Parts: sequence; C-alpha cells; structure tokens
Amino acid sequence: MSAEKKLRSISSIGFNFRVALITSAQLLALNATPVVIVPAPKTGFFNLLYGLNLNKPAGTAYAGIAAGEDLAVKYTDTNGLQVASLETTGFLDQTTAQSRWTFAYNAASGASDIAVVSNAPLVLQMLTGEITTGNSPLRLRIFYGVMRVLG
Amino acid sequence: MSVEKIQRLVASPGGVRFRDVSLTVAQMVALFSTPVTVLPAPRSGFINVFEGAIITKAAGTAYTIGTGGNIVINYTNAAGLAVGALAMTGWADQATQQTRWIQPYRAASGVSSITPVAAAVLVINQLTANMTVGTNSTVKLRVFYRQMPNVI
Repeated sequence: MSAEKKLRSISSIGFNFRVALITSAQLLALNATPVVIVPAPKTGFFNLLYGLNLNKPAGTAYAGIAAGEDLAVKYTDTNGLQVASLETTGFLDQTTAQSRWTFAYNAASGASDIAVVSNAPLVLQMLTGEITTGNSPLRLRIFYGVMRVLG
Repeated sequence: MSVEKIQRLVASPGGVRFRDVSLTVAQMVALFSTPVTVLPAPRSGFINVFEGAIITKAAGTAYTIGTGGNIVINYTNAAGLAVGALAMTGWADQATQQTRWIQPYRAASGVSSITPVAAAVLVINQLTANMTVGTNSTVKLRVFYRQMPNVI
C-alpha cells in the first residue's frame, strides 16, 4: 500500500486528505461559481478543515486582482461559514510556480469555537469578484476530518 | 509496546487520539465552582497537547448564562493555562441541540509556542460564574489530543 493510501486509511482519528484540481476556467469564475473541494459527508457527520496545500504551476499570471479578492474555503456555498482564506497577491499574479499552505482559522485567545455545518461540503470561492487572464490550474491537497455529531 | 512505538507505527501526524466525556446537567451548572476533568494526566514526563473538541448540547431547557462567560479548556485546574474556549451565547442558551468545534488556540503571527504542563490533566470550566437552569440539556465532548514526552 502506498504511503498516501495508508494516510487516507487512517480515518479513525478523523484525519483525511483529498486532492482537487481547479481548472483555469473554474478559477476565472470562482466568485460566481464556487467549486466543491470536499464532498458532503453522510447525515449526522460534518467536515472539519485542518488546512490545505495549494500549488499553482508556472504560466500566464492572473490579473485584475482587486483588494479583498482572496481565495476562501467555506461550508456549503458562497454564503456559508468561512473557515480559511489565502492571499492571492503574490500567488496567482506570478508567472512562476507558487506553493502555499493555509491553516484553518484559529483563535489565539477568547472563544475559539466554530458552528460546524453537518452534511455540508467544503467549497473554494474567490471573494469579492472575478479575476482575469491567467491560465494556470490550481492543485489542492485538503486535510480535513469527518466527525460525527455527538447525539 | 510503548505508546511512542505505536504512534510511530500508525504514522499519523503526531498520533492524535480522542476521548469521549459526558457532562451531566448538575456538572454543567457547577462548572465555575467545580471544573471537570476531560482528559486524565499522562504518566510522568509526558504532556497532553489539546488538538480540539466536538461539543454537543442535547435539546432541552436552555441554560441561563448570566455572567458565566465562556467555558474553557485548561491544564490542571481553573487557574491553569487555557488552550481553547467555547462561547456560551447561542449555544448553552438555546433549547435546540447545538454542536460546536472548539479549535485549539493558535497564534496568527509572532510567537506560537505554549508551555505545556507535564503530567497534568485537562479540565473544562466556566470562566466567571456558574450558569443556572438547563434542567435536561446534557453535554457530550469528544476531546482530540496528543501525548508526547516533555523532554525529548
């Protein structure tokens, strides 16, 4: 069994990963049309994001990146609870290959809880508006848990 | 086989484990005065590292929070280092079932270390006062944690 398969099989502790590919066409429409990067678990369970690794291969730089046009991971859809985000300036607007690691949101103090959404997918969305031009796909490796709502 | 050997064999990133805990209504309304242990102390020379917790409140009579404040996960006791916290408003004061994920504290920048406490339990307690009422809303937690040596 490959190391990756072994990692995928260790689910008793709720730690999984999956890969996703966002095409350039999807990236250019990612504000209006978020893409599911982790499917919804079965009823009574929820996805919990730990973090994700993103790779952009070399290619034509994306343009038209306005302030606030960052990549975001949310539950369900555009209106869902946001659990992580990634600065696109210095990442998508480069012609060179770029890699980033993004942690899920955490608190340093005070309340550190989130209202998880059961039976909901995690989606990747571009905040605020659409970007233009570029032609590189995005490769994602998403680390997450699938946990049961305790009844 | 030692705990460390098992962790290495599992090859998970650090060996995350979990433990389930139930809190009765009586414990919930006394959580300021009487913290409850949610994770026992590891053996001497080892530390617990909190990695998060699912916490579910069953449907039932809502708790009256008053000045109780958040509930926190601490090392040792109410005065110990806090490693995560849950806001009560919108959770304990609801009659419906409520589920939250308590993130472990992490810095957004700068120093991100904590001083873990060797051979210490993790407890849950309320910050400033006991809540009242909530006659039938029991609470269940699944606490995720790692255990590792305090000195490598």
